[in-house]
Amino acid sequence: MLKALRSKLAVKIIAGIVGSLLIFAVLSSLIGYSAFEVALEERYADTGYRIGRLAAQIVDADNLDAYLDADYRQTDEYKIAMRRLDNVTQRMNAAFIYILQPVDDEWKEVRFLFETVNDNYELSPYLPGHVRESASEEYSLKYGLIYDGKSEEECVFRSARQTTTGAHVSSLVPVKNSDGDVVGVLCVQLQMVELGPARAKFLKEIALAALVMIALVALAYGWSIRRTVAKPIRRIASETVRFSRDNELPEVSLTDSIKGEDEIKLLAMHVDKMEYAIKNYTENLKTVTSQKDRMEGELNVASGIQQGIIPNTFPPFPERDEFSLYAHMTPAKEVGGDFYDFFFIDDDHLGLVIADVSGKGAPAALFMMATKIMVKNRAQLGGTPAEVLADVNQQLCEGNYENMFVTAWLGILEVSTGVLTTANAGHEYPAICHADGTFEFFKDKHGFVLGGMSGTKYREEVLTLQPGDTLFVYTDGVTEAADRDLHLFGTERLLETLNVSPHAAPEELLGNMAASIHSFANGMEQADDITMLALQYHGQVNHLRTLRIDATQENLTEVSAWIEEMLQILDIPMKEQMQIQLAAEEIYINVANYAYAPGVGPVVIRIGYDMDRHAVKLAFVDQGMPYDPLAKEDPDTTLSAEDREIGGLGIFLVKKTMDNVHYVRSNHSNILTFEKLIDRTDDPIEV
Amino acid sequence: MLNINATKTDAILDLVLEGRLDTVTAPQLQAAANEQLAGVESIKIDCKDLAYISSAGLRVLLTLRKSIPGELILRNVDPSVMEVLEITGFVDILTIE
Repeated sequence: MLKALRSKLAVKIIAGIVGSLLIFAVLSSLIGYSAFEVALEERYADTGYRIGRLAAQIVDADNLDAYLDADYRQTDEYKIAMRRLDNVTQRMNAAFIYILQPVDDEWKEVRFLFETVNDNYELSPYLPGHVRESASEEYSLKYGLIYDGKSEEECVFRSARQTTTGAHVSSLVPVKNSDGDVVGVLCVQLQMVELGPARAKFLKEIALAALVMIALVALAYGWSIRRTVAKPIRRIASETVRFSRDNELPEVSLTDSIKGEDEIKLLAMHVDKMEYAIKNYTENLKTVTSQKDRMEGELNVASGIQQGIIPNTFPPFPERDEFSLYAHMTPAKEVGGDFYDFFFIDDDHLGLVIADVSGKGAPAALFMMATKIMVKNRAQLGGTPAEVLADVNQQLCEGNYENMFVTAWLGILEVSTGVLTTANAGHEYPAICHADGTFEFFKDKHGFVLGGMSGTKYREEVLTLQPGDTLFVYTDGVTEAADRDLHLFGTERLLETLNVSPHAAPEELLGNMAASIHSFANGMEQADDITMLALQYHGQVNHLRTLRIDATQENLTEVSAWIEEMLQILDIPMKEQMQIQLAAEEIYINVANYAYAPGVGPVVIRIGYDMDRHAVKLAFVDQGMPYDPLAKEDPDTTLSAEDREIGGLGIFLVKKTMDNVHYVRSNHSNILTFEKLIDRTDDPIEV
Repeated sequence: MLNINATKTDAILDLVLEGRLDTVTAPQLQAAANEQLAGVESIKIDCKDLAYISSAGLRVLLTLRKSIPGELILRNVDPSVMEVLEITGFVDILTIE
């Protein structure tokens, strides 16, 4: 490509030069030739004049008319003159010498007084008195000029094309008598024999000289262009190729390596400047990039620390089965300021926090850490959520020069009763699902954001969670998740998603929500942290006993005996005892047959009693493969003996005879719980 | 714990059950019945001292019912056992006296 361009450029330039030189050579040849021809003609004419004047001396000008007399022509005088004239003709190599007189004033016709002819021409001379037409108007004109005494010499050139006798010149001089009067016009015709060869020689020499000159000029130009244009341009081209490959400044700059002060030098200087600028820019970019990398790395560490201090082991309190709790935070690319938290304030009070710090990056992360620690520490000192938030606000306002703030929701759950006391500092409404309903927003009264204004008071809301109720709190990362058209996920879609499976366990609930957001965003990058927390309240269980045993059929006897003992302690009526025994056996056998098949594993059986509701509560927990026995379709109890299936009756009996039969898969465990409400007014004996 | 007393008279198998018919004891009833089942047309089970039955027991009863041409008769059924039979629809496929 580059080579083709280069040769094209040189060829173009040289062809142009050669072309113009050729035109110049042809023009100057024409001019030179023309001058040469004129000089040659003048020389011939001049020779003609001299011959003419010599001849004019020979003739007897005073007695010129006598030439027409034939008798006179017999005289010796005439003969001597003629011989001398003929002599001149031959010696001077003239073609003709003759004297003319006019027949008319216009010289249309001329009369020959005598004529001599060179011996080289086999022509006989016109006799004196011969009259003929003038050869041309030019002749007529010039004959007149001489004859009238207006000119001493005139000449007429006849080129080879104009005459049959070859290119020649006729030199005209006057013949004057002794009185000085012009009596005739003497013409000497010289053949221009030198003209043809001289012209050929001249043209040959001119052409040769022109060609040599053109060749020399082309070579000189080619060399000069190569040196001053092609080579520097090639140098610049190869330098730019080298620079784009190495991205290093050259050892010798183009400015130094290219001589001259022309536009190419200017181009070289600009290329140098450009390379320098690019190099500088690249270096800066590298520095900036590495700084950015380092900052990103540090932010990643910060993000790691931040997520590390957020509790993320689930279930968080395996020994507590009054509630299930699950929380999750999906951080955005940039470290943000969301967090959730949960902790026991005392044995019966669980603190729940969700919060969102304004802004992003390191400042938000730092503020979040401070807020999280303050809320937890302050809450564990005791006090209502409103008091806790008011105190934390006060602390955050101190020295908050950057005007950072946090929206936060704090709830304190009395685990034994389900009473939930909450306070809201500008945070999103929690969503609550009652056991027999669907999720709805709990529109609590908002106080101002934490860190916003010193002295802010917060209001409290109190609600009671019933067994089966679920609480869902979240940050605006959920409701403000955007799709590609920047539509927001929104609160309505949030409720819709929750209500697809409103009674699902917290972990499943959060999973559904995350999936819904993911499918809504449809590839749009997550802009903000997405943080969610869900708590499902199972109610207070007075644990009497826990039995941990290998789930085998053989151990059924032991399990039945243990349950019987418990039920007798609780003084449960015989009918209900039998029903509970039956339900316990069915669930236990189900675990024994399927949970760990074909191996054997443990099952934990808990039995408790809700004194307020007079409910016996049983829970079976195993770590076998996930299996929800309640999902199986009930058997058709109306079929005949022949059509009845053998299986499915046990779970059916449990569902029919027990209350609030519930299955949940949580923390790699199958948890099946049921209650039996006892119809009586007297409490069982305390144990 | 289940005690089984089986007597066979002609084509009728009489079973007297005492105790619990659960997952552990149900196979015992199945085995005891199988021993006597040849030529039996109907089975009579006295449930006077049967305090408890689970689905495993029901399965044995259903199997026995399907393996004889005649009736499977339960006598003196305890109320709690009766409740199970009613819930599961077994009252319709067995004969309760």
